[in-house]
Amino acid sequence: MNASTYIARAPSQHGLRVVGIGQLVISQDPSETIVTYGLGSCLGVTAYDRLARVGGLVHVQLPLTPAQTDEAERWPAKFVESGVALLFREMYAKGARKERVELRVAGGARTTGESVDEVFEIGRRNVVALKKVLWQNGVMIRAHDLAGTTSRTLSIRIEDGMVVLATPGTSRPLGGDLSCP
Amino acid sequence: MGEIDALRTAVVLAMERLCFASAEGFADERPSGSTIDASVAFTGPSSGAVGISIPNEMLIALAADLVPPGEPPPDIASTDLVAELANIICGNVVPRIFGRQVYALSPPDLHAASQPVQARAVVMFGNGWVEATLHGVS
Amino acid sequence: MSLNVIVVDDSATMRMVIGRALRMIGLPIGRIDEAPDGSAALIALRAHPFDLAMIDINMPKMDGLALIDAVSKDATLAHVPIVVVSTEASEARLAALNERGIRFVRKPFDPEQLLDAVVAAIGRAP
Repeated sequence: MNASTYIARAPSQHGLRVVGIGQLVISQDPSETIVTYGLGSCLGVTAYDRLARVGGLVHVQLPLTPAQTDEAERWPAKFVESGVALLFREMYAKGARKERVELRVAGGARTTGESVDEVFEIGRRNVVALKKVLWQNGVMIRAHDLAGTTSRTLSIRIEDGMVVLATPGTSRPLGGDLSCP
Repeated sequence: MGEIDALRTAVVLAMERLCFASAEGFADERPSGSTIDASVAFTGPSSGAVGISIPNEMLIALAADLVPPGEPPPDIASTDLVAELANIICGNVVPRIFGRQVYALSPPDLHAASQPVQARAVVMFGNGWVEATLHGVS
Repeated sequence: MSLNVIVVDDSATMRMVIGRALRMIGLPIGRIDEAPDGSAALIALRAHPFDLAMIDINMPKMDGLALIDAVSKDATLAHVPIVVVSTEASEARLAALNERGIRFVRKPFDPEQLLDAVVAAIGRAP
């Protein structure tokens, strides 16, 4: 992984922008949908500002530890804390306002076998790290689908902020209050 | 749920939800060092107490984490934070061991419980540890 | 119109956490007053108009259940929506609160859980 490509710049194919592990995409193109696949223990965090009509998605992998601050400077989207901070900074740069941003989150699944104690799982630690950074910055989660054991796909449609969560065999809007007609 | 598992689960839950701290391991014995202690008594179909001990440096760090980095730490005494953690942990231990019956919890006491220890759990975190003990169940 | 809230809990930590969570949830929160026990809360409730009361149960002097009783018997206060924020776990007590239309948030809680209870109590979403 080339850390300098943490903002995925791949051209969209049929309006689809794909976000890999440790990557982020922000868009104001209403024809685009941003998607990330294979959310196991990782977290997919979507953000949307309805008025500025800007949306973003970051796929973060690990909580940040003091030993990794140098790596987080080179590859911020890899870590929960720096990835979420980057997401908000990029959203603000496109005109979003914190009080209008809607966050929808998925992932944090358990991926190891029964022999590993659940409380030490990376997915669970990612969720705690996310809640901490959001609490410290006074931001709520609008909707979420977290934990469990399933792999998830998360997408956000820039036209209207609709967020869709897919798991093997199912697909549904995530937090259908304001995003869905 | 067994007593040690209930203590561990309650500590992990309280620390994750109130303090955003993730457990890193369990230990059989508490590390050395001074602590601030608190205990909460419970009365009902069974009676006893749950005590907790946390190093003061850890309590200071936990309080600071409740506000954004760079902001002055909140005006919260370490004794208040440990007392509330004792309240939350006791309130989550009791139903896990004894079921969801009516129990009365005492306000937290800033001392270790005096009854004999019946079960002990030590949970390790990045910036310290928490010991939770179950006392004198009758 | 902004909402004036009283937070009743003997823990300064919890009063701070609840106050901070209330400011996050996207509702127009006005003043947030605090009280360390039911007695102080009753005095404050009779002195100022409040739109919402967040009440712990286990408190010294006057506990949350006694406070809720006193509020419900006072014609000038009985209209104030109440959310109980507590470690209470007994099914009987929770059922009794539910029957009185009192919402409940279990400690420890996520801010989103507090939002759901507050919205249900006041009948208004952000």
